[in-house]
Amino acid sequence: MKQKNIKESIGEHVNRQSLSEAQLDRLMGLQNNVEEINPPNRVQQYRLVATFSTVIVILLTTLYFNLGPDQSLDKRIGNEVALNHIKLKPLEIQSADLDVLREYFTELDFVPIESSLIKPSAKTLLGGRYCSIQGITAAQLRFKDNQSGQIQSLYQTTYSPDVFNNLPKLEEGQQPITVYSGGLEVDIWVEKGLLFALTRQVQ
Amino acid sequence: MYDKEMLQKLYRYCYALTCNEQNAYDLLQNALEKYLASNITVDHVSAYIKKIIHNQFIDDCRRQKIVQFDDIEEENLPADFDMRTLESIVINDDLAEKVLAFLAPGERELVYFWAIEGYSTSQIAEHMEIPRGTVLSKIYRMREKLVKHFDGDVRSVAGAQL
Repeated sequence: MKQKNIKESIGEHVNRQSLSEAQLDRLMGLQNNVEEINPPNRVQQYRLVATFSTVIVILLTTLYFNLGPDQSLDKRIGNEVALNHIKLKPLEIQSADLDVLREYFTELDFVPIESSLIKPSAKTLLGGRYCSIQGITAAQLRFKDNQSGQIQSLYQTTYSPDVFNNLPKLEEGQQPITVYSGGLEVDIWVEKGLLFALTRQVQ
Repeated sequence: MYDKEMLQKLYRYCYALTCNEQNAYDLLQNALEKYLASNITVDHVSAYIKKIIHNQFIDDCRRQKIVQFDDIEEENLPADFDMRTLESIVINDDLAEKVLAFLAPGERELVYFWAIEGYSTSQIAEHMEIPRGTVLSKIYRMREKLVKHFDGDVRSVAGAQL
């Protein structure tokens, strides 16, 4: 076996690592977003305040006239889940074994399970982390779709009828509801006493 | 602000720390978010973000209870020991990733500054904010560990024998 100076060998190995174009674009996008949020001069600051105020007024008006609390629940969950997924926060535990993840999630009042809607052979489990949905502690499981290579997040939390009413239940023959947020599709359903939310890139 | 070239360099720093592509990306993204959220202007953006990465990484290690090795005292070092003895180590060509993964997180950061940035012992000490003697002790410990663990795949071709 050919041997090489350790400095040279490790240097070459690390220098071979690089971000993909998609990752670069995503990280550059963070910067662009902040530039919009933090304009450098006073005129832009006034413009930001005006825009923000307008958005708030539109939002409150829309909520007042159109959306009751039940109608907006799926959208609220979809928005929360999509935003959480986009940030791709570091996994607290990495394993392809759901049993290992179950052992990690000791602070939940439920046991993370597989959904009948997700074929185990179609996706590779990457790991998980704690999160919350509408203020209720949840587990976020991250998968890689074996066919498309997409990274997906599956959120699970206790189904509380008081909080999550009128969401489709598989056991009653209903199909998941799909909402769109942040360029993602989010499927939401109730199964085996748990609320599920699965992110997917829009095809 | 930052550009793509700077991002690649910062990513390699993250990779050297974590030795994992996904963790490196997460670490970099979190650091960038913190930097952008701070909304402050700094002269050396790359160095500033690197500092955030370093602090974030230490926090992550503490949270995940990754144990750091204990330092040995400078006065316990062999009298003829210096940086060149580490440079005398050769490894099998395909072993770089395993060697990096085998090292403790703090050692990996040191290796990054040494092998990728080309820093001297004093510069490493300055960047890692630790005494020069501690850098030398880490290097000494690292060399011992590597030669012992990897047996013939990692060996010293010059300098003091262990």
